[in-house]
Amino acid sequence: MGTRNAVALAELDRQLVERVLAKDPTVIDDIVRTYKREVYHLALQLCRDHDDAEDLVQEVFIRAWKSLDSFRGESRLSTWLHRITVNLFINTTRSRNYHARKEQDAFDEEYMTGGRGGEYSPERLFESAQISEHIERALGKLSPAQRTAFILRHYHDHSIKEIADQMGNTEGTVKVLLFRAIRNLQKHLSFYRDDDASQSR
Amino acid sequence: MLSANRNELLIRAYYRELSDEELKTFEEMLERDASLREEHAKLVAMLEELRHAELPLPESESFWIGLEHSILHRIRKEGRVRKSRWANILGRWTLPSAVRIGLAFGSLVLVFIGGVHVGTRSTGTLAFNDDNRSTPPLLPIEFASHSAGDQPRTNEHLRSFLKRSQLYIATTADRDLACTRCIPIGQQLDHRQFARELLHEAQRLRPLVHRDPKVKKVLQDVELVLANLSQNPQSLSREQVEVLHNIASSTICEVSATIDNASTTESVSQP
Repeated sequence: MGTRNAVALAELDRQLVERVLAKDPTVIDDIVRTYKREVYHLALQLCRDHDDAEDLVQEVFIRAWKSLDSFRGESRLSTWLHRITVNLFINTTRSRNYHARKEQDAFDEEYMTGGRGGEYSPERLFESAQISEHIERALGKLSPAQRTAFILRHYHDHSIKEIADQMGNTEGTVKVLLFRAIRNLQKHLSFYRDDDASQSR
Repeated sequence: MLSANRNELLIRAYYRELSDEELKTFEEMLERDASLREEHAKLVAMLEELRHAELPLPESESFWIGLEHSILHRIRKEGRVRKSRWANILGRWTLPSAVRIGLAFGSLVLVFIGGVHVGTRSTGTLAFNDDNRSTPPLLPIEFASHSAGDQPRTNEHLRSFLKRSQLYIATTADRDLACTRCIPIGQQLDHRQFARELLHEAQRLRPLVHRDPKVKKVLQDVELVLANLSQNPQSLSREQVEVLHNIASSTICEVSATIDNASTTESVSQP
């Protein structure tokens, strides 16, 4: 079933590419209709926020619409849209002011080290179901490029080569980004290690 | 902290990127090295937890319709900034841009001028003579019998046609954001049909403007636009059309009001 859907989607993608190359002015409507969920899914995992994801998706399709003339059909439309999403995400996140990030870092430092009177011990985090929020924070602390590489690999199951294509990087760079992303996550989610270690003792 | 190579190996193993040979070696290492086993278990646990933390997509269909609408709305808004509504229509033509722009502006101006011109012409100029009657009767019988001896009615019909065509073309510039005023709601799913009907009407009106080159040119331009519009494929679902229609209604009413005002100020003077 999944394979059949993938084949159908590939065929639909091919038809849309043909229409783009034929300069069909109505093709953008069908591109939006076909890929809005997929692009939103990626944007949501990257932004970790529905409002930001919605804004990003709009920007992605507007950018795509403006760049349709430059699309040469050398890749699938979905890959092209992913590339736009990734680039826009990295660019917009980089351009955000650093003060907010530093404030969050300071807060997280207290959060992680139990600087608030030990109120946020790992056990309490588990017990109070704040784990998701904690993961969000850990993902939020990754650099945009690291987060993108991790999201594409982990949630979208893209290969290193596909990620490299979408990010406009070499495969080697992507491997480094992925490696650093996971190492940072391990650092920021170190309570897993402590917890496991304490359980195993 | 593990060495970079060791950690990379764990990561590659988790994502099943190891070759058969590497995997075999890795499994042997796991059996031998308890600390590696522990690190592996922790990494897998963390990554699995992260996988579960994937944010779910909204399930509501209205969310997706709304998202689609807002994307398309923004695209059209950007389009209006980049080029005029009429340029959008002309963009569908396969003629060179310069010719397209010329024809579009020419059509717009001549639609109104033509209406005024036709109305102010003497009855004799537009009345059918014997030559006209020799033309195969493209008009419906009822209309032809009236038009032959009823000049005000002829003018009114031509003016009405041009006005409806203009309204249709203007509203279709926003890609089929049709108003019930110009397109019956039941026909909104297939605007090409409406374009085709207008096109047929234009063809039936040809004999009326046979002897007036300017109006004839207007009619030909309008026919060209309608012919192009009638060819474009439609694939909007009913839901999407309704959403777009509702959002667009204010814009369309504005267009209608503009045309009404223009018609009032430049109304055809009846003989």
